[in-house]
Amino acid sequence: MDGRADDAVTIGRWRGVRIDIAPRDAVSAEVAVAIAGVFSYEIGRNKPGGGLGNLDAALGGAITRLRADGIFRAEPGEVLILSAPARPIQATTVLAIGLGNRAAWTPAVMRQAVATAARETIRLDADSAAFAPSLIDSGLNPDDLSGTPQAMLEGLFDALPDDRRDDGSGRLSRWLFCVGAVRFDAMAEVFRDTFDRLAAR
Amino acid sequence: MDQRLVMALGHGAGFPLSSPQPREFAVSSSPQIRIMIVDDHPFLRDGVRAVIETQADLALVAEAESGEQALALYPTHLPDIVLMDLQMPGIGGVDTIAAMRSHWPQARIIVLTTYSGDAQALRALRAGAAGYLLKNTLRKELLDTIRSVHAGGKHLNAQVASSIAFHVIEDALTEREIGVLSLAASGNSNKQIAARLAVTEETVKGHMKLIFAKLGASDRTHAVTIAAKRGIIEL
Repeated sequence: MDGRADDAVTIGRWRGVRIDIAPRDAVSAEVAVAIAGVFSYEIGRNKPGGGLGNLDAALGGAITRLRADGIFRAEPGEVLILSAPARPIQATTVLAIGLGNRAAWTPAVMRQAVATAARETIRLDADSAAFAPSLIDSGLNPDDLSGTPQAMLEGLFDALPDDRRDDGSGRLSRWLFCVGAVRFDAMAEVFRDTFDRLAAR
Repeated sequence: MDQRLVMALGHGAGFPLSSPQPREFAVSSSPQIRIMIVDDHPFLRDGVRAVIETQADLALVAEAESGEQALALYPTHLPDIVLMDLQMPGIGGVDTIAAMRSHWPQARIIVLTTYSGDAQALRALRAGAAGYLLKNTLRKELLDTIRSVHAGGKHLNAQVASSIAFHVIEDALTEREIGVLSLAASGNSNKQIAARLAVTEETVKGHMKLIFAKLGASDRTHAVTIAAKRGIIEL
């Protein structure tokens, strides 16, 4: 699994990791670790929609059930790993990362979530991962999400140490950000511009 | 509290003197992840030790063969991770997890079990376990789980997690219903169960009817089979 779907667009390379975006979700991404952001609750409904809803359904409702039971509270940075999921999930490991209170969400929360998930992926010695932020799936307004691509890229950069290619730490070589199919080309442009700006700093 | 738990927690060596002595190792100040294993099967302990010894960042610091021994050893070693069997003589794994977390909230516990049943897993997780692994997946998942849980995460086999979720739509059995079914599993008739519980036979029949409905069972043998498979009762 190289983490690159046919519909993926490469954004750039950073410290040995190729960064792509693709109109995928945590179920369909062909990677070793499929990561999904999860809020501590959804407003106005009991279950998330979209890609996160698909993932939860593919796991028989495990994520929302464990959250409802308080076993996984989805607090910011909280990690829940579900190993060896069954099909249709393509990944060999699912990692749910807590995003906390939906009303208190900021891009900084996403930066921390991506960094934590990437460090855990490296700890698992996985070669590829896909991160589905699930923000719109959980009911956030798309108009309130400016700054999210930058926060996600910064979070990934935070988790990749300067010397990781020299000391051989981790095999991670592909990172895929899952985004919606709607306005995909525009989103790819935003990610590319942001990547170029951050990489030049 | 269970008297055995009181004994284990109230004394430095509260486990019965007739029990084999727990195995202890030197305390180290190294940055390794320090692990204690609690399992009454020596072969399992040997196997886990052999795996851990191949990893430079892990160290097995103590072994116990019962919950009582584990509770006695925990404060001496303060391991970073406890690997815990559920089915053990004396106090069971779930009660040991609850007692350990009650006295040492920082305890990070991973369950190692052959039981994939949802009820058993849910009890262990509610008691405070941070990981739940099936023994037939240890070879692939043990090391990743130890490191993830040590880093603060929770780690479950996806099959177990799905099983927990699958049964949520059903009504859970009450403690009384579990008691009735456990007695039925031991071969007691409704009349004998009624006598044991000091209720009428009609009351027992009523409980059994509800048990069948909640478990989707066609008869008492079927109900016992389902309940045992899901970890609701122990045979």
